[in-house]
Amino acid sequence: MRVQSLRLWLALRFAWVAALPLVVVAALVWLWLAPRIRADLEVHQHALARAVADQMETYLLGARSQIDTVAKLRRDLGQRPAPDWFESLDAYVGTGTIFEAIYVVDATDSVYAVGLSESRRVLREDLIGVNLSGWGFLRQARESNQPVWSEVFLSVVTGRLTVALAIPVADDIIVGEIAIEPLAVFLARLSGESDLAAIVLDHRGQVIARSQHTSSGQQLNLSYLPIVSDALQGQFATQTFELDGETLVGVLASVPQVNWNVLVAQPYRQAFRQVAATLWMTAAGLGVALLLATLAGWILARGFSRYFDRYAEQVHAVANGDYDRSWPTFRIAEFVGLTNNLRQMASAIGERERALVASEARFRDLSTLASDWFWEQDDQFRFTYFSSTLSQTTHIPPAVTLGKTRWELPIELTPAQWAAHRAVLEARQPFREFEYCIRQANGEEYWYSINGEPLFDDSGRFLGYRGTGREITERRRAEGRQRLAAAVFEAAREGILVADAERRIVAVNPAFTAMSGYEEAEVLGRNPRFLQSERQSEAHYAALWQAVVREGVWQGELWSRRKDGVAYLVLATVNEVRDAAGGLTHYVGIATDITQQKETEQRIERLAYYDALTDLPNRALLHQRAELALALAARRHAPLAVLFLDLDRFKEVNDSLGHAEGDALLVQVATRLRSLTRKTDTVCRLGGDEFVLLLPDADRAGALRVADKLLAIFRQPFSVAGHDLGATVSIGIALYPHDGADFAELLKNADAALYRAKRDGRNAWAFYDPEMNAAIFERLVLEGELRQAIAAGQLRAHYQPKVRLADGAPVGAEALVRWQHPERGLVPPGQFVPVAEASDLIVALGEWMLEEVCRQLAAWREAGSSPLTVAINLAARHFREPSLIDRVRGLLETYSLPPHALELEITESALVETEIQTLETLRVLDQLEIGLALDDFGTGYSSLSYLKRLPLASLKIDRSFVRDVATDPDDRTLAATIVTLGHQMGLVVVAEGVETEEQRRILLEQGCDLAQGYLFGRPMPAEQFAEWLAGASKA
Amino acid sequence: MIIERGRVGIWAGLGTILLGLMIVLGSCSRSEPIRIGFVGGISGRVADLGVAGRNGVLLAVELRNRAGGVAGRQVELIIKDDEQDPEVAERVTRDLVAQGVVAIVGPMTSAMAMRVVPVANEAKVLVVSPTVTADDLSGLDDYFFRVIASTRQYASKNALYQRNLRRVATAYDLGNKAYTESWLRNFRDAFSQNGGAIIRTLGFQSGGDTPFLPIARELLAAQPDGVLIIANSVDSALLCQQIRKLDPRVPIMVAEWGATERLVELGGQAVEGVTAPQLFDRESLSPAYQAFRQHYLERFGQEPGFGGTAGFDAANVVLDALAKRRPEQSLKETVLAIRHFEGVQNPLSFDDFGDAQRETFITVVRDGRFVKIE
Repeated sequence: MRVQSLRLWLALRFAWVAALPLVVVAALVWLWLAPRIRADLEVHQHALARAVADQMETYLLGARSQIDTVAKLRRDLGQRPAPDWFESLDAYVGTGTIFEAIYVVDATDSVYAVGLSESRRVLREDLIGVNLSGWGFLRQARESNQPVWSEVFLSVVTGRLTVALAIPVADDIIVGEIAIEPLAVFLARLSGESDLAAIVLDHRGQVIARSQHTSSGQQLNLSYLPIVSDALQGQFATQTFELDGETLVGVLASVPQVNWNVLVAQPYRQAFRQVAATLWMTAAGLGVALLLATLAGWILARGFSRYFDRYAEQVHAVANGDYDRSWPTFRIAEFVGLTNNLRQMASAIGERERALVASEARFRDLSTLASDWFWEQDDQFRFTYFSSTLSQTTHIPPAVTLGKTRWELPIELTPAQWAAHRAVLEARQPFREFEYCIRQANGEEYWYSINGEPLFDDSGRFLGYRGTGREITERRRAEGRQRLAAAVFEAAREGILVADAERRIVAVNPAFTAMSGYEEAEVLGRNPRFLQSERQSEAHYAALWQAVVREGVWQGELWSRRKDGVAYLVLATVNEVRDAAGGLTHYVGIATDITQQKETEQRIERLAYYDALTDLPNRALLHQRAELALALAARRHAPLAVLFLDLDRFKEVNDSLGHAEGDALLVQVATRLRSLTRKTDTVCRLGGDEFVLLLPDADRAGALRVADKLLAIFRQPFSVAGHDLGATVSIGIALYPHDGADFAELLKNADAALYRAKRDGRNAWAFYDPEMNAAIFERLVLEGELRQAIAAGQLRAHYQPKVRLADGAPVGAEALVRWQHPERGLVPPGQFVPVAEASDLIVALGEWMLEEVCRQLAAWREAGSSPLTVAINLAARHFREPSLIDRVRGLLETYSLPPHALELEITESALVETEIQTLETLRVLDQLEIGLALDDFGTGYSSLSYLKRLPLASLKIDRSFVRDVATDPDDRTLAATIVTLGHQMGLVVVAEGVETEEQRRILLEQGCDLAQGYLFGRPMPAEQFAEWLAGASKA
Repeated sequence: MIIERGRVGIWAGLGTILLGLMIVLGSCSRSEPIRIGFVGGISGRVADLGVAGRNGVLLAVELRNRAGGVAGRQVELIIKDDEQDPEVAERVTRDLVAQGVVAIVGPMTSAMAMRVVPVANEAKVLVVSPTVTADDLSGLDDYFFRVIASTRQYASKNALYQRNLRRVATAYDLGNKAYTESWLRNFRDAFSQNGGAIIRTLGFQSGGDTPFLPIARELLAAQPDGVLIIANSVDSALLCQQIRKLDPRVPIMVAEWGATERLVELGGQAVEGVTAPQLFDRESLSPAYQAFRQHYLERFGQEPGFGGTAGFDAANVVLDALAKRRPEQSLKETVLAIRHFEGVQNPLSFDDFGDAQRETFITVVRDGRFVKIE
């Protein structure tokens, strides 16, 4: 609301009052006086214009009557008069005030007489004979035979504006040039000193004469003015127009005689001078009146404001609580009344204020007792008030927060939380328990809970908020702990059970439910007794409770019972809970299910003492039991037998059928072994295919009986993976006390006996013999030495020539390994090759041979010897090595040898045991163009169809057939058959061990291709072989 | 505070009232118009050229004002009558300078120009004349410009056209010697080069009191091949009338000054066959001329003639220059910078001395009209 001062208010009101009548006067002047003045002006001007026009006409008519007279005279004369007659024309012209000249024009428009004023008569000679055919009005007059007024033109005679009247008389025309200047003089006289303008215009609007002789207006055409153009079209009305930069108001009147118009005009300003003056006076009066009124109002208000100032002071004092100040006294009735009323009001306010103060004090007292504090905010949510309890109960000094909004305080809330809170505030909604945290500078958190109510005034306008606040830090912390405890309770893996002092269950956690199978609802209020298992006696439980009562805690393992009746073992703790006063309130039981743990322990124990596959006691348990049995036997002087069993060719089963089948076989073997033995006996799987039987009280005969039974039960084939599998077993037997005093010795000796049994042809038993140990020892020594020999380079390759049987030409050699032992000298292959075959050394041996032969071949090639093919024997196991192909290929590359330089030999018996992988290896070798030879052909049992699938290059007839080929007809037939067979299969047939010429001859006859043997050359070192080769080649 | 506000309020109230009074009392001040002056003979017997020139200038200014004025300002034309009196011409020019005109269009005759130009040069006020052709004013770097060529061009052209004549008698107006003598000199130069000769030269005082018959007699007494009249239209017409009275056949030549509609009007039959050089082409079909002519006819009820056309062109030169003038430029510099202007009939170009080159025609009066023959 805009506030005005009393002075301005009064001044404006006075001004209004003063201005209004004056404005009315001005309006009256404008609306009533002005039109009247204008009407008067129009009438006046019209009359004047008419008068001027009449004057013009009179003048022109006067002139015309004179020309008419001349014309009459001329007409009366008839024929062309004598020249002297024309002298009389001069008389009509006279002094030239009216006429400039009077011409008489003949039919050719040539002047033949002219009347001039005296001063111009000198020109007469010029003018006589002048042709005026250029004057259009002459033609008009002649054509119409009527008097014709010319337009205004410049007189040839005087050079002044003139108008001419032409009156035709017979062939002649009388032309009178009438001076216009007198008209201008007349108009000038008419207007006199006034601003009145009078202008004579011709029918084109061209100025003929004007009262105010301003040069710029001369011969000006005014037809462009609307007032003139309207008049030229016959409409005469008063109009306002601009001329020479001045606004004029005027009217036209016509001069019909000559078709002229007279324009009478007056400057607009002058015409309405009276109206303007009146308006000016009014405006001036208005201004003065306004000024005076304003002044009067101001002075008056000044007087009043003294009174009001006193009241203002008084009211101000009352507002400040000074109710006792003496009231001003005035001698104006209205002010006295006002004073009284105000005084009453002040005292009433005073009363009410005292009551209010008392009330407020009461509430303030109350509020200081409360732990809550009060706060108020304005409509911008800025704090305006805090009760004193704020600083008492919180860590916030009010001075810091007053004037701020809540979100300007260091409150830790997320933007989303603030947005939610502010939305409530913006909606003017009350809020409850708005909780937030303020972190102090020292890092401590304090929590507050705020309630707020919006405040509105009577008109519903929002004033702000008011509410209470309370610190809830402790409560929050307690809640936090409680939540934590609850979370632990809920999430614990241990089953927790809480019972009250009367041992009634009040809570269990989910882990308890999972463990016991009881839902919480099922157990609440029950005594936990129902969880007891019959596995433990009542007394046990009673002791438990006693411990709890006595010591406040019990811990131990406990059998419990699930809902489904299954017992389970728990590791439990039972605690009592006491309140601050020491009174028992609750019991808390915590239990961990350790059933699984127990089972696992047992399983581990079993794994430690039993073989996982066969479930037979393992070596460890065997030892324990053996020690026990031995101790018993020693005490009772009783015998005891140890049987060491090993399945024959079990490795082949594993290799050919796979380990799963091998394991299945072992399980069946174990079953049969177990079925054979007494309860006091121990059947143990030592590992792999080795089993040990511990037979207490068994002497030599007992052991033998068992051994025979064992061999017997192995006669029945085992059924593995749908195959009937024959398996045999070799058994070594050691007896107590004869063969050893302790178990370790007995077991070692049994093993030695087993070795003997194996060597003796398997599927047999053997008793221990002390000599056995020496043989085994030697074998082990040999194996160790051979291993070293490979590394130490004690092995040698010897080459036995291979020749073409037909002509004895050398075609190659077979490489044979020799061991040059540093102490024993040359060790025969029959001694160390079986040892190598029994262990994995055979592969290392083969590898060494491959490398050595390739190296030697390369050396020979280097030396320029003729290229040879050298055959190498590789064990079946070696062919199973996946790296063999890469190895061979690598060697050929390393020594730059062609593939056919090498030939690999595999024994028929080895081939029989081959697996698919070996076949694949053979095929790849064949693709590499490495020749493959089947060694010792005839000793195995290979089927021909099987052989046919093999990528073989040659067959070697076993030396056993060759030896007797000369003497034994059967062998001879056999050899011939082999040769034929080999040839039919597209193979080269090689005879081994040819020693005599006889043998050579027979074999040659039979068609055998190649041969080797002492007849051609023994195996010899490389250098010797080279010499032999040189010799043979020469031969 | 409240009292303070009250006081402010009072003064604000009084101020408002006073302001209101001032608005009532004072009239709204409009932007000052640009003033240009016109000087020409618009009274007396030979006023036809001056009146036509004034009308052309007036029309140009009115049209320009109707189109919004020059650079947003209206143009006020102050018209002065030199009454064909050099004294008056000088006086009114000084009046115009005193009234603050930025340029003067006029005068219409060379004799007046001889007095107007020095005053204008002194005041550095641009003078653009529609019709002054005096040779004396050409080639001067002064404030005098003209939208037509000098007498040399017309006189030479005329001389060239009349090369079949050998003996020519001449009458010329002594009241406008600046023009007439210049014209005569130029004619003689060109004419004599072609083997012609001026056998008689008669000067006369124009003014209405001079009888022309004796002059005609004297001209014809020398038995010339042709008569050359260098005078205003009225004098030329009257002299033609006298010559024809004496000799109906002798060829008559009139200078372009006298070759206005007035010549035909006053000369009637007597001027039939009279040849005259012309500054402009009455038969021009150029759209600009036709538009101008239409405006002129509507406004003044007359043909514009050469005076009206030249006045219109001259005024437009001044107005165009005013419109295009840059703040630091004088009006003269502006005109010289623009140099090429559009005349209503053909373009006009100023040389460095403010003389324009324009086309000239030779016309003959036939059936009361000027007919272009070359």
